[in-house]
Formats: sequence, C-alpha cells, structure tokens
Amino acid sequence: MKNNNTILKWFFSIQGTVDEYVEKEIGRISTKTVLILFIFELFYIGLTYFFAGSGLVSDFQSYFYLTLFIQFIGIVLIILGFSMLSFNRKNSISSEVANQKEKDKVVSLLKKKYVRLVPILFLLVLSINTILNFSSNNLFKEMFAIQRICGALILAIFFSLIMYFFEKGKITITKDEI
Amino acid sequence: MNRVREYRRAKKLSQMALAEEIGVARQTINLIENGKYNPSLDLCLKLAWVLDTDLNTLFWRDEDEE
Repeated sequence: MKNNNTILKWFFSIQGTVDEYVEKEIGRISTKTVLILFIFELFYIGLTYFFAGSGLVSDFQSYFYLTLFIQFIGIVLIILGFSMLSFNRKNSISSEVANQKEKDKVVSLLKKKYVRLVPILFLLVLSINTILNFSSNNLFKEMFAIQRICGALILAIFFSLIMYFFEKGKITITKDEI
Repeated sequence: MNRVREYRRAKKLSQMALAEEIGVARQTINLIENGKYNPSLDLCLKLAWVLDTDLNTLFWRDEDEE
C-alpha cells in the first residue's frame, strides 16, 4: 500500500496524505482516462487499417513509423492532459497551504513535477515537429537533426519554466482557521 | 450540511490539527465542512470519536436545512 501511495504521489504530484478523498478522485479520473484511451485506440487502429488497405499508402515503412508516433503522442496527451490536468483542476493538488513549511514542500514538489515533465515535453515537441515537417526521407534522420533537437529542448525548457513560475505564483498561504 | 466545523471550533482544533488526528489531508476536512464531500462511514466514526460526539449529532440533517 505504501508503495502504491508513493507511485500515486509521484504521478499526480500529490503533497501530503493520500486519503480516501484523493483515492476516490484518482479512481474516478483513472476510469475516465482508461475509457477515453480505449475509444482513442479503437478508432485510431481502425483508421490506420482503413488507410493501409485503401491503396492510398505507398511507403509502408514511413506509414508505420508515422502512425506509431501519432499513437504515442495521442496516448501521452490523453494520460498527461486528461488525468493530471483534471486532477489539478479538482484542487486535489492544493494551491492553498497552511504555513510556510507546507508552501516550501509544495514548491519543491512543483519543481520535481516540471523536471519530470521536461523530457516528456521534449519528446512530444520533437515528435510533433518531425511529423508536421515530414517528407519521404528517413524519419529518424529527420527527427534527430541537431537543429530540431535544440529547438524542441529550448521550447520544452521554456514552457516548463513558465508553467512552474505560473503555478508557484498561485500558491497562497491561508489562515488555518479555528 | 453537517456540524463538523461547529464541533471542531468547540474543541479549539484547527483544520490541520483535526486532519492530522484522523489521518487525512487538511483539504479533505475543508471539503467535508463545506458539504462538498461525503466521507465514508469509517471517516465519520473517526471524526465523531475525535470530536467527542456521535454520528447522529455530527451528521444529522434537519428538515428545514433541506
């Protein structure tokens, strides 16, 4: 159970106790996420097969890489966007803290959260950028071009920094009322 | 609603102190007090125990409140 909580805390950036309310929220959001993932996969695989069999595709190797990348991006977006953001919106990760000590803890968790997000964002930006500018050349050659990597890295770092400072600014110390 | 806030104040406990006593997050106490979350029976019993009262008193809803 303790290990489970550690994973939940890490994934959803939960500060403090994982109590029954947080567990219920995670359960509700996870069920929704799984359903959406299922629908996405169902339609995506269906469409992939349809296009593959329609005779519109001539380069099947590139088609294979491309569809896998789009699938990867879709899954990452659904999991990150849907589960983590809707969890944040429900205020389970509270921006209200009782004292300075708690605030420092939340800020440190925020830092960890965005350090974790940078590589994911980097891969996401790199993949989207490659797919949007993809010609019939080798996908990996295009993807790992130094200029593209630098651009994606800079964008991921800047975006994470902006989001970190934005979320940090929202943390307020409330009076712990009696 | 419920009388958790009333009894907590009577016991001179902060939300944080009460949360620590029953092993939940402070935000959960806040949600319960504001009627935004219905706690489990186990949590209700813990609340009643810590606040030295019973479930009927703590979670009773008067007809005129509805």
